[in-house]
Amino acid sequence: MSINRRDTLEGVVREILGAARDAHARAGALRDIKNNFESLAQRDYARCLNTHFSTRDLHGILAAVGGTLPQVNREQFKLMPLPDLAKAASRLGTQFRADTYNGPAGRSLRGFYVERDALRPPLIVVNTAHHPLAINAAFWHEVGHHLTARLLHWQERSPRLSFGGDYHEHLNDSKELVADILVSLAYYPNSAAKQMFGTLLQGGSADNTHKVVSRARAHLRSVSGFNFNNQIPVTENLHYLAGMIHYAKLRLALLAEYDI
Amino acid sequence: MNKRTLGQIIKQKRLELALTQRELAHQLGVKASHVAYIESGRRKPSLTLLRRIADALGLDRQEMFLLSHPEAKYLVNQSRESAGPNGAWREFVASHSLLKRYRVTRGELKILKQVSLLRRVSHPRHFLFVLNSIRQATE
Repeated sequence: MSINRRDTLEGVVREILGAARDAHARAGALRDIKNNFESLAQRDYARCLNTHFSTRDLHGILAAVGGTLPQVNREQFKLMPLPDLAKAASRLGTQFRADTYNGPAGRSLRGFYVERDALRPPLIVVNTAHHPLAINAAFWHEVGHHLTARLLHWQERSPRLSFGGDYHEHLNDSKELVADILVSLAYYPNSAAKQMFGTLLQGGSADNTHKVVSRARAHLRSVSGFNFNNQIPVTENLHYLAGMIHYAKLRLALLAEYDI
Repeated sequence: MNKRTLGQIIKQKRLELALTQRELAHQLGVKASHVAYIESGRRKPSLTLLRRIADALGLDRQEMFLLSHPEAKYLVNQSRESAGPNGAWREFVASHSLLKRYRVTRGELKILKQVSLLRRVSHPRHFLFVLNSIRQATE
């Protein structure tokens, strides 16, 4: 049976690359499909989660986080402007900085969390050289580090830097994974996840990454207005696509394996 | 002590993850027999497949590459001198003019060194970004 390109991840990448005039950039990005997207799409997220957490662990973490952020997994997190992120950070007991770090190297860094004696309270920094959706995702990721340090006593002895292309490594690191889970639950709360993925789980097509991602994309478009477009550099769009694959697959695995 | 082979490491990790050869093969998009051949050392995986295996099993790509291509060790060791996991940190601390211009103190270097332990820091400028943000937060 032939596969319609529009029904594959490659179709999405080709759509993103439609904005790229440079043939070299296009060819390079297409290589990225093989190098990044497909391998990410092939990762078994449920197994990765199982490697790090039991069902009891995850529900315990969620209950602890819910004590501080009761809206997690219950309400859709809306995109917040920087002043509102600063207020949220303050309520959670952290300092907040929004700094712009541009250029190819700079944009790869999304943010960081640092907890030092000299820094009371701890500091969350986000790189504002990104789409608001990515800035908000970086913020909640760093909040995830803060909450696990505070609530679960997972000490953060060194600053935690978050990069846009590190999703494979996050799957091998329980601290990064918990921080990503918070992002995933913020953008796909339980009711939304059931609506998005329920039919895929029942129909046995939940392992079709393209279907999972296209539902996540439609959801994010409706709640945040985000879409891949030519206002965003092509390489950035591709990074955002990798993030979309990662968080959607993570959310699906949480729903399917842990009923979260 | 005998060093373990690539096939042995793949097999051990696969078993730790409770994966059958067939399940791993499915994830990798190859036949189960191909996985069996690789584990027994009768076939050497292509670089693309090696990367997929590393990602699927959560193994270190570079370590896998060197086990598969031991002849490349010399080249890798050489390139690590100039770049490698801590190349950005080495470049940063070696740039005395930069450290002087930004008046980076010993205490700050200590904090930044911890950042450098995270292998993902790929560019010396990242250290300056972190440093500036922390400085402004503590002002």
